[in-house]
Amino acid sequence: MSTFSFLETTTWQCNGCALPLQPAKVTATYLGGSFNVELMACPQCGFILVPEDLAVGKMLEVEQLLEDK
Amino acid sequence: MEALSPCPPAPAITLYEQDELSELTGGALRPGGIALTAELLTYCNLEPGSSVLDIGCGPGHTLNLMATNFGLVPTGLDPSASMLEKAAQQAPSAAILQGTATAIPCEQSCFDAVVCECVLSLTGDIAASLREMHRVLRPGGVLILTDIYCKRPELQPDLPDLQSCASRALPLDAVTDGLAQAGFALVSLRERSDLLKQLAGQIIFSYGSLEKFWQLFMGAEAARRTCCALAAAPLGYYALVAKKEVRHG
Repeated sequence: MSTFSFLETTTWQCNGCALPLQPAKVTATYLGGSFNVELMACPQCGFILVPEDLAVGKMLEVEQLLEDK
Repeated sequence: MEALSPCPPAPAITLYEQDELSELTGGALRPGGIALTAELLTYCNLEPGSSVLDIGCGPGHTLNLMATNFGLVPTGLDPSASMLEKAAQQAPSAAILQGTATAIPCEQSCFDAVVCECVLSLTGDIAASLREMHRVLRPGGVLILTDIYCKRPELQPDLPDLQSCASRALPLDAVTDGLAQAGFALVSLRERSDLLKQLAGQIIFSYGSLEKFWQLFMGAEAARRTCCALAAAPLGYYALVAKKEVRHG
């Protein structure tokens, strides 16, 4: 399955771990759909940063598709 | 003043021959890809050495799977010369034929199985296609059939002329009725719309939106109309196995 990269340079860091974010391979799942993406994440706790434009753009459209909206 | 001659109609776009779709689906040009094909072949449990016709073989991924993973003897049929050239390279042990589902260039009862994935709605005549599939199968032979279907036929979309199963989807009962009329007995029918949604989701992640994907093949207005039409009359995906009935007496 294709992997979709949404990596970007960011100044965000994990507040709990005080570590800069690193590229990570993530499987995003929702209502039976499963997609391999690359996102920035905390190397220690795994907390993932979803950029706002991704969340309200492509991810929102995929959610609505899976919800039959 | 010279009379203006009408512009010749733009050639219909053949979606399955577009590189963009091939890159997204990893070569197998349909929802579920080669994994669904393997699942269905495993379910049918064909004996190694069984002869199988792949109708609409495209670039030959199913042919290669059948020969390499299942020990079957595959024959590929496709109307596209460019696809057949790719199939010959992908599956060198497969027999390759150029032709259509409505006039299969094979003798009757010469195959143990027929595979037809995401193709039937493209053939233009499902009754003739199913009769031909029945003809070339030996009695008791199996048919593996997958395709898009129209969930709300009363709202059948009015789509631009795009040679894709998306624009020619049939209601599911039209397919099952056609199978019965052609002399097939339904063995298994699975609703696999989840695979279609998965592919659509991958398209969105890859291109930004479904509308942007359709814009690769048509103008902006036609792409917008396509998205609206498909939203109004949603599509589903089915996977079925049927058997050519053995007639007695």
